[in-house]
Amino acid sequence: MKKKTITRRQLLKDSTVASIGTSLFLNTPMSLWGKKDAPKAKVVLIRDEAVLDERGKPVKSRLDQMLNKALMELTGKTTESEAWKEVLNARDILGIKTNVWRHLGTPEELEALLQEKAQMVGIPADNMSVNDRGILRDPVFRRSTALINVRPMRTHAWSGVGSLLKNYIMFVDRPSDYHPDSCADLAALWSLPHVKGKTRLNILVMLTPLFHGVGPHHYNKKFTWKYNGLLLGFDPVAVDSVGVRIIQAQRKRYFNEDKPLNPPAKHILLADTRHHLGTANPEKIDLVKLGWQGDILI
Amino acid sequence: MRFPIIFTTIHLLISCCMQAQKSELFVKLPASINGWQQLEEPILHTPETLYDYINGGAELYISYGMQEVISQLYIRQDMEIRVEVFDMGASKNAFGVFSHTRTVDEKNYGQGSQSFTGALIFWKGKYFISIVSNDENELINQTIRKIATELEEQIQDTGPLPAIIRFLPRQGQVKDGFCYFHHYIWLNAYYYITNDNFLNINDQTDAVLAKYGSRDDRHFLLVVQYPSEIEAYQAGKQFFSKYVPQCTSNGVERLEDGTWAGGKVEGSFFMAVFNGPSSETVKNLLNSVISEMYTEN
Repeated sequence: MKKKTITRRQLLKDSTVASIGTSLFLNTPMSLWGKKDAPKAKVVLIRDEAVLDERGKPVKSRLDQMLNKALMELTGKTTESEAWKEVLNARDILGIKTNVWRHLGTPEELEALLQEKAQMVGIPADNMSVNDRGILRDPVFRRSTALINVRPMRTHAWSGVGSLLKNYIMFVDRPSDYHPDSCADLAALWSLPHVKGKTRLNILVMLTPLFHGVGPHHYNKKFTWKYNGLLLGFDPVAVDSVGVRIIQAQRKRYFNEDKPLNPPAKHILLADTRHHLGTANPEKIDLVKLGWQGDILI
Repeated sequence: MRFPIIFTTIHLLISCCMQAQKSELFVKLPASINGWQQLEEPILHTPETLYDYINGGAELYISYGMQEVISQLYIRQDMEIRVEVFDMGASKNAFGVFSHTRTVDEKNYGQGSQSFTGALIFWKGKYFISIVSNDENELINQTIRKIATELEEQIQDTGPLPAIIRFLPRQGQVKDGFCYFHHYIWLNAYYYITNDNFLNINDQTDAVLAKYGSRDDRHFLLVVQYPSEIEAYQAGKQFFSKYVPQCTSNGVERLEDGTWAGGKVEGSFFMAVFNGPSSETVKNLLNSVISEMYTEN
């Protein structure tokens, strides 16, 4: 695959990459370029001011409401049941790809809810599994027909952000094979035979995202904030692209100056321009905002 | 399949023990400090095993030439403090990884330090140290400070800063706003410049990126030292063809967003200014670097 140099200068000059690059790298809200009539990828951002309790733990009932409402909006269905049946069916063998990073993992309440939704659709318990680091040895994942990709948004010391695209790195034996050039080609994971075409839903957890990291473990609670949101979409690149813009906006707000992700999350741009997995272009994303609008940052 | 797994595990254990014996990491982490106890024996990681320990985070330290790291967990009730001492091979690398992370150099420990909520980082000599807790309270902060003091005393040798730092003009520079590196990924540390390595920055080059001006006219200076003049010339050629192809004879061009960028080659050095508010600002800063080069320190 031919690799293309994308300098800041080219982003300023070249309309084919400008729309995506300016939003991901240059932290500008929207560019003036891009085709207005192209089909758009729908991304739903839903927030609830009361989704976290006083200890910062998700309140399952409120998370349930957020999940259902967002999925109904995403699928265009009017009931919870119809919406979930649009995504899953009773014959599916479902792998829920979670994330167990100890500092900021996928909330267990959300994992439990997704299992309940799958049961509601008719998937038996032994045909579903929630897993992260053991997915290659998980018998359900090995014969899966459907995947749900769910994880929190965070900055990452080497790839810029750890988000939906990166969450599939455990589908290979040696994740470090995908580290070169700051994880530039993570989108290639999505073309692996045991992954391709299986993902039914992407959920980027934005309840308490990490917007900056320090130290070897790249975590400090000081650099998380209560955003109280979920991002849902069928296009992982579009969802990640929206997530990055929120993180960039929070960094600008917190540090009181443009503080770009270091390194930039170029794998999201390349997922679009090099791997054609989805769109990272804000002008090709139909972002629907539901629920609490305070300090929404996008 | 069981035999190969057991064999591999034993092999790894033997390798780790051998590495521990060969290790130059001499720091002796105390068995207990301030009422906190070691949970386990200190663990030694090499660049090869660091992935298992901090996964993708390993690349940052490897990109700065990390040799090995010793980690130790201290516990007290449900509180924990993890101490990591990185041998970065040379003081310039220890400083480099510190400069990558710090926003302010408080200079309370070693040759430079910064405290965060329940955490502290510092560097001294060829070592970069991270002390991180899972919580924050006065007891934790006090213990973190004690551990830092203990380690600082054990590491007796200081080390020089990267030589390239001294070419950064002081005037207009943002305090502690510079980052030293020799891996191209960090070229975008403050400002997006490019997605690839067209300036050919690698382990043989020294590079520094620095912030100048106020928030309203923030601009960025890059200085790279190559092993030879021809390599600096080639980097300049790449920059002028890819970034400012219509620059004036001064090597400066106005970009589409109204900012100015420019570059210069001087001997084995390539330098560039990005996001300049005016042509004069860019030219003056480039000339100031050259003046610094010919100033006796």
